[in-house]
Amino acid sequence: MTALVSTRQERPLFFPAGEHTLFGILTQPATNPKGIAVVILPGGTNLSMNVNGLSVRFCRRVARHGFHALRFDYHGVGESSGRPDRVDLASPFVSDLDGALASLRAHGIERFVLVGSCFGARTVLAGTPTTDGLVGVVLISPPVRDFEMGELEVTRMAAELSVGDFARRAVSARALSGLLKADRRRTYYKLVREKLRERRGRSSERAADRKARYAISPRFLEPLRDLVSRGSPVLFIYGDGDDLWGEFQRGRATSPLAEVLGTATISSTTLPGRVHGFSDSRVADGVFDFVADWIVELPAVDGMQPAGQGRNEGIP
Amino acid sequence: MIEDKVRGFILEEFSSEAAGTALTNDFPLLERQVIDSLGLFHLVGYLEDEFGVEILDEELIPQNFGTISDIARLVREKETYAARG
Amino acid sequence: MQLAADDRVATRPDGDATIEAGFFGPEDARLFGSLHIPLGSPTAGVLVCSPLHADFVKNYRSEVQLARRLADRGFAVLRFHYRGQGHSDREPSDITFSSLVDDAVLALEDLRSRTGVERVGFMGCRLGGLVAAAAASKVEGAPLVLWEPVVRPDSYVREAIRSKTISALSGSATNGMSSEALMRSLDEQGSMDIHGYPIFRDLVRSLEGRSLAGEVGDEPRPVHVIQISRGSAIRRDLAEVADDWSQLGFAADVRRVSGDVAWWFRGAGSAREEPEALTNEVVTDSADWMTVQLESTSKT
Repeated sequence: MTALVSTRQERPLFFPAGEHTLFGILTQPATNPKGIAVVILPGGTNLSMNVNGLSVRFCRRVARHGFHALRFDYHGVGESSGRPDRVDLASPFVSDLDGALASLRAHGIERFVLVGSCFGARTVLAGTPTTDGLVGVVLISPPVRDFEMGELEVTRMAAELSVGDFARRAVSARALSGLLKADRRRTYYKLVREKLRERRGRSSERAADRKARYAISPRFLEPLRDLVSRGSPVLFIYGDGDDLWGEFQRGRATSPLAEVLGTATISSTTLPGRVHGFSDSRVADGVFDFVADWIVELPAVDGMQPAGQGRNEGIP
Repeated sequence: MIEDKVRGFILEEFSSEAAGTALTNDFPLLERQVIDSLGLFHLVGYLEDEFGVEILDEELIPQNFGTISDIARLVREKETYAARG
Repeated sequence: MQLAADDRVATRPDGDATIEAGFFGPEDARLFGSLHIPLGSPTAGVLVCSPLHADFVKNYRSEVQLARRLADRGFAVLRFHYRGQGHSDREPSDITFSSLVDDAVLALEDLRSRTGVERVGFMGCRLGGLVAAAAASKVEGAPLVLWEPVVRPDSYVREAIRSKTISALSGSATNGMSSEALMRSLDEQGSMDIHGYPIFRDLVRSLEGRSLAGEVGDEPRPVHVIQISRGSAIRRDLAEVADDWSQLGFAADVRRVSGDVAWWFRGAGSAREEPEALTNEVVTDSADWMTVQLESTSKT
């Protein structure tokens, strides 16, 4: 094991990304550089250091094994310029990722492992079709549907409840008494609006976009297919306490997601507890330990072509 | 009166949630979601500040915060206990 | 690609100002900081002392906005990450109150040496308020802005535990540890987890017996406290400490800004927050107050 990595191996960067200037910290390898950069994208509007400094420790850890590592703030967040955009899974921050990769290429790095959690995972997926030099992809608690931050529940309910169920619930005593509560009224309004949208959509909305809110999104599926066709190893990680894990499980029981996930280069693991949101520090540290170990063991890391053998752990 | 002070705090702090309700002493605050988890957090802070009592974590149960009457009862019990030294 | 000495800092323009973001301090334990440098020579400087744990993340962008506003008015502003937090060296378990204050003092030296400012003001939020107060106490008459300061640290720890208990009541907590179990975890394992942020025993022990009043000290200085709440009443603990300061000859005041910040609640309660409007009001008020203080003393 090499010496611990600290700020002495780190370099602050500002780099262009679309109309914005983003801030990142590039961690240099402590020894035997592999010429591969691990790029980590946090969820939602999280800062580059992530919850409790998870990304900081992760970057320094992979650097001990010879990787460069980049953590950066999305536009409008942390030290980056701009104003924060709404977090919508249908519109991940791909230009931010592109800017980060361009910055790394300008530093002579051409091979990448992309690690994303939740919204970051969907940004990774959205960016992979145009990314050359992919060595591996890690997706931590990626949502399979498209929705805006804060709308996981309403869109899930709109998708799962039939019109009949919806109507029966709407006239129940509980629902009617809930109309007296301001928060409940707002929730009911959102549910009704969402159900109407699910049934009819908005005039400005394509049918495909509407469907992606309530079922497996093509923005999730198509990049995965692309990764499979390129033979890029992909690791899915969920917690068995995640809502998103349940949706993933239900989705994988149906084709076409089942076909894609059955490919040898795709592996997945579930950890006990709740991974999404990293609200338990021990679970969160365990996630990144697992990811670091997976990256270090990637066949392409030492210049060999991937053997194409994935592994599946913790899946019944 | 404790009930009036608590009612005043709730009306001011949770004005949008309490709007349209008849905030009687027996109105179900938690059940009707006039007070959510963040609201409860603020309410407990207010009670400790205003009445000089300490609310223990094991006392954060619906029976103690379900209604204004419940809250006032809890505060009176604590004040009585404190007065006995 | 090897790091050069000048790779410690990255620079970008920010309106008329410049931001220098990077590392400073001793080589074996460096801090990360962002220095906002105004156009022309800065007339004074401001040191921003951030809160800890989830508060650090929640308050980050407000601190950026404050720094930008003050830089627009000709002040140099340094925001920094304590060692053990953010991009700085060391681990969260290394943090104690003394280390926080040491870091603030180092940051102050860095602010002064890089900009040449003599007159400085301090801003601190939540637990960072205690740090700002302790650092300001070393600078005669330095003005102090405090956002939602922690008056007594034991209440900070109790709030943290309480937020987890209350989250469990509403079903949004990740595990159902009781407050006793959390305190036992603190004593026996050295830390307790609050919504993904471990709070370490060494930090808690180092905070015991401290208070905002104690850290500010008895030397009069201007102090401006901002309370963020929906209710109109000033918190009793803030009113009492402000009153004590006034008795000691401080120019102290507490201003309430209407709003709600779910400090310990990640995600929960955010529906009631109005971040942009609230941030703007707090930043504007603080910048206006600090400008008056720094400009008035620079003329004397």
